[in-house]
Amino acid sequence: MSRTLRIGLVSAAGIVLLSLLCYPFGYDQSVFAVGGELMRRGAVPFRDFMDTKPPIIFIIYAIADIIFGHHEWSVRAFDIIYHCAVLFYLYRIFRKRLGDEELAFSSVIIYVFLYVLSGFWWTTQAESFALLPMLVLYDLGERAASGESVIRNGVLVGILAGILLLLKPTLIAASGAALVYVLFYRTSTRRFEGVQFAGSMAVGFAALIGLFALYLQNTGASQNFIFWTQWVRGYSGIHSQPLGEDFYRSFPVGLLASYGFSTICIAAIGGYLLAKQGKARKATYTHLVLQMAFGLGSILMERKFFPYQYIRMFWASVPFIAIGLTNLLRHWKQIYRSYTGSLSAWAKKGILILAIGSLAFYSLGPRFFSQPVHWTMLRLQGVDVSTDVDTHFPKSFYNDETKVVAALNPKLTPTDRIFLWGNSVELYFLFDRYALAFGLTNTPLVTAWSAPQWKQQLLDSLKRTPPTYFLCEFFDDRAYITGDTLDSWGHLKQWTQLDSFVTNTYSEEPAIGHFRIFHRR
Amino acid sequence: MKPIVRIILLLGTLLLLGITLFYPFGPDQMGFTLGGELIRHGSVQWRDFMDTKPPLIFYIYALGGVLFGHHEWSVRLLDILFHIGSLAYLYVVFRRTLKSEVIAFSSVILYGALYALNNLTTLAQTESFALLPVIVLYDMTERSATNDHPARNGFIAGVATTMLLVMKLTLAAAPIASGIYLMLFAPAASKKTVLRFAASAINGIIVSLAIIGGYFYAVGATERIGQWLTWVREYSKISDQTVQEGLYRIFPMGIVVAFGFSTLVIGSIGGYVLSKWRERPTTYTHLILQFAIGCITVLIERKFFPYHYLRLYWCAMPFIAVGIGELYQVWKRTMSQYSAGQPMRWARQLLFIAGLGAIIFYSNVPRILTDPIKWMSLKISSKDYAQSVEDQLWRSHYKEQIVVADSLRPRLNANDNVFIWGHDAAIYYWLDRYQKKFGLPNAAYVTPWAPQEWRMELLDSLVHTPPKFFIAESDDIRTYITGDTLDSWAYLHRWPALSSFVDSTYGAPRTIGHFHVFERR
Repeated sequence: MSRTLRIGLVSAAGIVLLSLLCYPFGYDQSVFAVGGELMRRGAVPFRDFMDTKPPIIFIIYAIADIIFGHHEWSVRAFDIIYHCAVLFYLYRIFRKRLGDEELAFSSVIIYVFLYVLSGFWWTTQAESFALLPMLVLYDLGERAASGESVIRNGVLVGILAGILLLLKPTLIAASGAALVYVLFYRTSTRRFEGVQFAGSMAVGFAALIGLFALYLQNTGASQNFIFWTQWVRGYSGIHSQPLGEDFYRSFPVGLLASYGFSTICIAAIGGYLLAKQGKARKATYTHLVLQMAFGLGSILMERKFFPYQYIRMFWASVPFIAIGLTNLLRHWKQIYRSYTGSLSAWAKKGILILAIGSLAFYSLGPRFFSQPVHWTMLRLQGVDVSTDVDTHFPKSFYNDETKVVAALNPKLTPTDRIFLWGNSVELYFLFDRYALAFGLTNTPLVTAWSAPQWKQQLLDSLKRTPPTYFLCEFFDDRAYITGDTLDSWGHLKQWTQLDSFVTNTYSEEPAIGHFRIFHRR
Repeated sequence: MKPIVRIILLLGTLLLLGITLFYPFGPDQMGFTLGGELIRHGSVQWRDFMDTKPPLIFYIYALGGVLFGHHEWSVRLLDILFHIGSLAYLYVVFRRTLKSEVIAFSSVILYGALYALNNLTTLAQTESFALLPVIVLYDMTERSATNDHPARNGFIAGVATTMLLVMKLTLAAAPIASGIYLMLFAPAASKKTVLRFAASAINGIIVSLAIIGGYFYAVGATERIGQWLTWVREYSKISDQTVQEGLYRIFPMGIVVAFGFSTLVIGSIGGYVLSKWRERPTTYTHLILQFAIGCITVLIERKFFPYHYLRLYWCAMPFIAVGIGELYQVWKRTMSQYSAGQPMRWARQLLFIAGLGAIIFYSNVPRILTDPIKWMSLKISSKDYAQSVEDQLWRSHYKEQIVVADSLRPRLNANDNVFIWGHDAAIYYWLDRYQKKFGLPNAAYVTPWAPQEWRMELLDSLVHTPPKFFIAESDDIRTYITGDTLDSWAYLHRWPALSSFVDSTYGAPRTIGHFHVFERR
């Protein structure tokens, strides 16, 4: 690869990565951001607020806000810096493990494009930040498999498994892949190394979880944490279709959406080329295949199939894509040059260009225009992106949120508080005012399997210090979380105690968009 | 390939094809059957009934009825025999053109198996029966490419083109691929050969069209062809999604559904392997052109029903066959590198089995349970298969139609007739009574762009000889045809002339499921 090409690719990847700064919040990002703000204000996860995700993602968002301040772009800036550093690490590991500098470089470049082109909603997720622990885990797994400091590496892998668990429970599957790799595919032939690795992994994992339990105990969050595990189990049991349908149809559709059709075909060609090498192939590719297989398995277990969930496999699959792509490019170049002279040769060139065009079209390529270019242009033009965000996803009321904030902000004194009974928690972020008890979405409180203690905790808190405004969202049903088709207004009406508290304490003002406004009397 | 493997594959494919005998009617098959029955009863398309498809498919269905009688399985049997014959021909042609007996055999087996693994709505479609004319076209083009009787072959290719045209308009694009191939990619074909082929093909089209046109002129059906073309053009404009959405998202999803995820991936590996063959026969370029033109026609149609992609099967199979063969060779080579009993061999074998399992699972193979075996077991065990049809198909009123027919049968004299105002017109079939005029689903009369003349003719016919029962369907919305969300019941009330005819001629309706049955006073 020429130096100019490298500089060109790095610059392009850098520019694309920078465009993350222009990405607005999606639903998930706003939940994490508000969770982060709550933590900055002393709230403790599980004790004061609940979400489907464990606490690390909120801590990351809190750090981003501490560093860059209260902006939508803060966490994106953090994400960019995080990815720059972690991808450099990825480059170094791949260079060492795959023994091919060019392949390591191409893998990193492909990762950047795959990641950023996923779009505003699917980036800066728990899976995005899982990249670093997963890479370290992979590296340590490789070291252990070659017989290097098996026990130390095992303990560290166990700790990383715990970190992944606290980022998102299913991400722990990556440690399963590393364990299988060390147990069955290690190159070192010393006996009992596999068992030693497994044992020390368990120790490391137990140590981290023990520390976490201690933290919960000291912050008084342990009881709610137990309720939370039961609540998340209930949430995980919500599926929009039968198991067969999920496995057979939704899963590959999600894979297509996250990678793009032709990227998958190119990766398959890369896999085929590697498989052809037989025993000459480096053992680490087996580790990568295992990481992908376990990653896919964990997505299947989750059964939600949001495209961002597949981001956890990007790092393990990019070498295959890179191999497929570089071979294809080399091959195309060869073919293209071999067609000379006749009309037939020109026609063949035409077909080749058409084929390459189709591959580019059915990759994530076109999203370059609908994501990085689109959001950057809107931001540069100073356009309000909220309406645009709403057109991308159903049940997104970003524009309504801005209207609510514009209408209520002038009426609020510095000490006034608001409470949202709904899902569009970006409202808190826009107001920069937070409800310390259950100041996230109301999903943990509206499911049939919600802990009654949580409801009581919220009600007590509201009664003790009623917020100035109680906002209730409607048409915001989230069947994939709650398992029913009721919106927040419907849930409010179902919960008679909360409903009568609102009726007795507040008077209703005209609704704004999808928000009913209640002002304290 | 060992003879025993061949026999097993052949028998397996025949068995799979044979099971499709148990498939009940899908909505399209029902419409075609009714058209076929109308033709057998003396009706003529364009003069007496209208559909989105040109006439040939109705004649094929009529032939099924003539040969095997009035059964649901008649056309399925015709489909099986047609495919056995056509695939034998394809085998002969591929063996000659691909210069590999194994690839020819595997391609045919793959076609048979993939075809049979589709569901009840996808089989026995126009695209299914387009196989023979398209192979003829391919064969004639390939023969002419070696300067073999270009005039005779061109004429036959022209006739095949006409067959495709009167089967479905977009299928007639296949000769474009043949033309491009002959002109630009057939090295042996002289300019003279190409010209003779093209002239004879045009000749063949003109002669065959003249014969068909002469017949329709003689029976007085040509007057409305212009109106019908306008109507079909408007129907073609109806689409659920934007052009970009259709092109970028729906099209690849459709292709995945039609081929199966892993089949496509294997096909792309096959394509890559073939592109590396130095001695690759030029016919592969012809197949790629046929595939590309086929994809373009599917894109032009913009409906993306899985059966639309059947037109791509025959030319994709050699690539899939090569891909499978190559992967098998790679596996054999890899395993030979590890000695028996070695733990690494076991570990790799396990990984291979998991990989193979995933490939099979994400091919169309699991559909063997949801379609062939399901329908066979339901029919053999005399279970309520009609209810299963309703459960499987969206907005299907399959069972209700049988119930309506059963309830009306005892009340009909030999000369009594029924008229169905709805999308599901199978009651005609179950009663074995047909409405000579307009006895098909009402799609042609309810679209806003349907000529007034058609409606008036229908009304005159009904007023002239009112059928004993007028049956109006509700909840049979077909937005992809009509472009709106009205059902037939609503259409009836929006057409005052028809509505008042029903009110004045018939008593109060009796409702059976989604059917409102009016009896003549």
